[in-house]
Amino acid sequence: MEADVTRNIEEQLSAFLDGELPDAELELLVRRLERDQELRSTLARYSAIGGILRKENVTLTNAAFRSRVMRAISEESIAPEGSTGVQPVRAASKWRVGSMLAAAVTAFTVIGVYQLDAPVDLVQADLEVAAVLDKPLSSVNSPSVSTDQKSKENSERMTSYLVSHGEFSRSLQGTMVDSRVFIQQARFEE
Amino acid sequence: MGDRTSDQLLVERTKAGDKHAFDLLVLKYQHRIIKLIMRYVRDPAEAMDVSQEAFLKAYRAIPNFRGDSAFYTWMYRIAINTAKNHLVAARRRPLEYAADISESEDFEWHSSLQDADSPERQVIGTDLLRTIETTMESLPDELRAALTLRELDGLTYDEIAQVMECPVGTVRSRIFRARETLDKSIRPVMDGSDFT
Repeated sequence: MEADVTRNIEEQLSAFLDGELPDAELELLVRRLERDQELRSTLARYSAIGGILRKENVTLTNAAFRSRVMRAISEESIAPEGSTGVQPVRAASKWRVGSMLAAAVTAFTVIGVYQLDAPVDLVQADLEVAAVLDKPLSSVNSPSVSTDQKSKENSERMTSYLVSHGEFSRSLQGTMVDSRVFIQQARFEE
Repeated sequence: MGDRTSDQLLVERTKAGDKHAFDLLVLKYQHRIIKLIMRYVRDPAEAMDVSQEAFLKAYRAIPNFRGDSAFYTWMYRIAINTAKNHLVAARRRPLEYAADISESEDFEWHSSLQDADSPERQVIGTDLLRTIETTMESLPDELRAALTLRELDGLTYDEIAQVMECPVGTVRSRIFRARETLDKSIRPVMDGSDFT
């Protein structure tokens, strides 16, 4: 019984080699071939028989050749161009390193050019901003003024601003009040 | 149904990242591709390198293969271009430009077989050839005819069925039985070698 099944599969193999296997049998056989080394060996021998009959040099085209090709594909991390599959690690990391390098060079160049052209004060101001940005938020506030006090001052200034300019922006008043609420909420969350 | 259908399935699977599928395409066409390349590059070691390069190029370019032509036709062109480029790079004149697989039957494979490899391989090659010739002669006429029509004349199962006046299923069975018998006869020669 098992021998019959094997023979049936081998007959499918023979038809597959000739490109004569019906579609209904094709998919299953290909899946079998992918996981069954013995079946692939049989296919390789059938193929070699044809090669010998056609006077092709089968002494060269053997498993070693196939292994060479497949090893080259694996070792060089070759992916079919435009493949939708996962990028090979080496290629992906090369791309990432390249991008980072390009970004760093661009940033360096922009900063360098900007600093050459800019007035000294502006450069100094930028450096101060950069220094502040590098610090944690808590250390940015002046130690002599408490957060609550500063918040109160800001709130009063905002109220004063809204009262002063409300008549010019009546239609936007709600929005501005909302903005204030959002500002206060953000402070609260901090 | 046909080579195009089964090859297209393997191509699609390769495109999806299935390397085993490409391995099957290599398995299927390696003999023909190396034979083709050896018409340009006579040195067997070089021919192997060029053939490998051709298959790698095909693998890289396979997403661009739309299936307008048969996979082998496409692969054939890649192989010829790779061989020609190799010769140009080596500043050598190709042995033969008008490559056509149907003409290549006259290629002196016996001498290339003898020149190609190590003495051990030459012995295996000669043994294989002798074993297959002997077994072919011993096959029933209908099996030998079916296999010859397929492997040497390149007829489809439908065409063979017309020639032999039998159903296509019988053709499939006869070709398989011929291969099965030949396979049994060459196994002792191939066992222990890296042919498969």
